[in-house]
Amino acid sequence: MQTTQDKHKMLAIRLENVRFRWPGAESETLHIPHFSMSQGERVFISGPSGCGKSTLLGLIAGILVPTEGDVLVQGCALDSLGSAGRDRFRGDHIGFIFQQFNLVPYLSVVENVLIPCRFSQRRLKQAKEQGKNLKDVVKMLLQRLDLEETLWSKPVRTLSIGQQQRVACARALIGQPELIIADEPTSALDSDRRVAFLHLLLEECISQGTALLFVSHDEVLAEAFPRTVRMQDINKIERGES
Amino acid sequence: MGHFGYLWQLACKSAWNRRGTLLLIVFSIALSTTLLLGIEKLRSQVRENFVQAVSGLDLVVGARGSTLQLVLYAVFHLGSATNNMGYDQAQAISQKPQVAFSIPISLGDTHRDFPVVATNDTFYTRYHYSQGKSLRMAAGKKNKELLDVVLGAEVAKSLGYSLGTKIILSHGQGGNAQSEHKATPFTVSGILAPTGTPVDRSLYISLAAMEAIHLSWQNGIPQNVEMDAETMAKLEPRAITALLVGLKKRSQVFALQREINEQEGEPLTAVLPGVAMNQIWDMVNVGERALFAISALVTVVGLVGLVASILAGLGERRRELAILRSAGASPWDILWLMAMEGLLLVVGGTACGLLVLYGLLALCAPFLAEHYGIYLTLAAPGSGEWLLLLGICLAGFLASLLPAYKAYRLSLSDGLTVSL
Ligand SMILES: Nc1ncnc2c1ncn2[C@@H]1O[C@H](COP(=O)(O)OP(=O)(O)OP(=O)(O)O)[C@@H](O)[C@H]1O
Ligand SMILES: [Mg+2]
Repeated sequence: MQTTQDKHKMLAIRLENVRFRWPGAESETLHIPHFSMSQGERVFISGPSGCGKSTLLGLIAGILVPTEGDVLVQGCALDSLGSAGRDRFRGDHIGFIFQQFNLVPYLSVVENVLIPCRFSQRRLKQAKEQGKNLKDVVKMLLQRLDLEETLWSKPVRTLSIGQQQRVACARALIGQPELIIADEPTSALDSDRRVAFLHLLLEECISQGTALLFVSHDEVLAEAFPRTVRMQDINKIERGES
Repeated sequence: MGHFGYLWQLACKSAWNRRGTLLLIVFSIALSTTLLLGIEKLRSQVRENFVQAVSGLDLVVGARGSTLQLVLYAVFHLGSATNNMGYDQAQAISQKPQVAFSIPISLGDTHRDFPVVATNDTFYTRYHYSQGKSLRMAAGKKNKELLDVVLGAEVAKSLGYSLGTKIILSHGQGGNAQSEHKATPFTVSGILAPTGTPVDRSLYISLAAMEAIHLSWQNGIPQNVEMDAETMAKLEPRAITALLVGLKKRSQVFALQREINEQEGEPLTAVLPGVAMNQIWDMVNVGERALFAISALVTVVGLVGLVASILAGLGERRRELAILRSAGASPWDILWLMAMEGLLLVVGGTACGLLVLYGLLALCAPFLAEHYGIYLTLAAPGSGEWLLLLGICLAGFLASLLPAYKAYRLSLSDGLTVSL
């Protein structure tokens, strides 16, 4: 998969001269001359609502394709992959945590955590290497994220939002992807839980050596990150209300 | 577990999760399947019944009149009575060298709304139905005494008669069968095995018996006529309703038909029952097509409901589809997931419909046989029915590609951020 073995292969993410315009929009949303992130780095991205944070994450995930410029993840140029290739790449290398409603309502907690392993052979293989069997790995992961066993068999709808976010966290982490993208995962939590959740996530990322790209407009959380990036600083297009 | 296997599992779990709404859809597809297949089944069974009943006959001969009416009345005991033909004429025809056998039929009386057929022994030995099967006695034997009667299987079953039961015949048909042949009670001497033809719904007496019970009637009024049994047994009818004819060689049928139609003396009609059947099919064809069109429309309505409900559910599933996308699912996976759901519903629906249909058939078969003379066989679906089922499933699958395509488009445009 990694054909482009260039000098930047150490970088988890690299954007060069990226421009993006939503289909039908009259102006561009993003113009990012340069942005990069190394392996295992933890970056906090802040910015006002509507400035294009989620759009940036979509580009990195290979769900959106830039109108111009290159997006490289793990040294791999996404636009060289084709759309099916990008989907596979995303499954193999990236874990996601969304703001809310992170779980598939008709799957059990364990099945929700295992979704990436169903779409990616690589994640499945790597998850299996972490323990005796798959179930065991999921259980260990859930336990480390403070989800006690009594919750595992409950319908996911009945979990609290904090618990749901932690299940999503386990799903993002399973199979050791190189990069985790979190799009305002804490905004639905109250402030105490926010910090607790963030620390759990950071702990796991550090112990797995996973890079974390964390988006939020809650500047307080930035303290926990070695590096903070403001959208205004990387995006040449001024947008969004603050 | 294969990729598609997982998508199937997701589709099933998702459908099960929304079973409340989806059950209604399955129900409506089941109903339309039942309707479509039921009508088709009824149609083909009715045709088959008719064809089986005349399969052993080459000609039906009766008094000049409508050919269709003659066949319907003489063979199926349906419709209004035809004029009689002279018994001597019938005997002349049966003497003809081309004729292998001939069965005289005299109708007119009934018993509890079942037609009474007066005939002779040839009927028991030579009448064939559904490609060469001959009549068989389930119990007892054919009538020996003058006032013996043989029952069709359905008659015996629905009236609960057995050998030795004494029964009274009524004069005339249906509603105007006011007067009964009280003086001449018949004894059940035999019961025929089921045939799936109108034979099952008839009572059989001898021609002499028919003549005897009407001897005492003059101008519709019962009279007291004393006669000893021996003379009565030798009675011959003056007229009969029709003569059913089987030929030695089928190729001679047109020649004989022309000969009878053109012969001098009493004007007669000879009909090829198959030709008369075709006339009926031509007549009912329009109705059949209309029925088929209506049930096809009902199926379309069911499928529209399917599409509508999947589309309606799409809104609240966008989130879940985005989650799958984030975990590596391609837009095609999303399309398949939705299409599988449609397929699941339509296959479930048709399967339920099939079950309901066979349940209904089993329930209604006795009723239909008793009241309409339609004999339903609970055979496994034939190739035509499988084709219909396949057609419904295919149509449902294709229809569900519409919401599937919508989901595909949504999953492309939504990206990972679905705002609810
Ligand atoms: N699916 C879409 N189709 C078209 N335009 C979109 C779509 N999603 C976002 N946009 C537009 O792109 C711009 C950036 O949106 P984006 O969601 O990236 O902002 P954001 O920084 O994530 O905001 P928030 O903090 O509220 O999540 C907005 O102007 C928005 O209207
Ligand atoms: Mg956003």
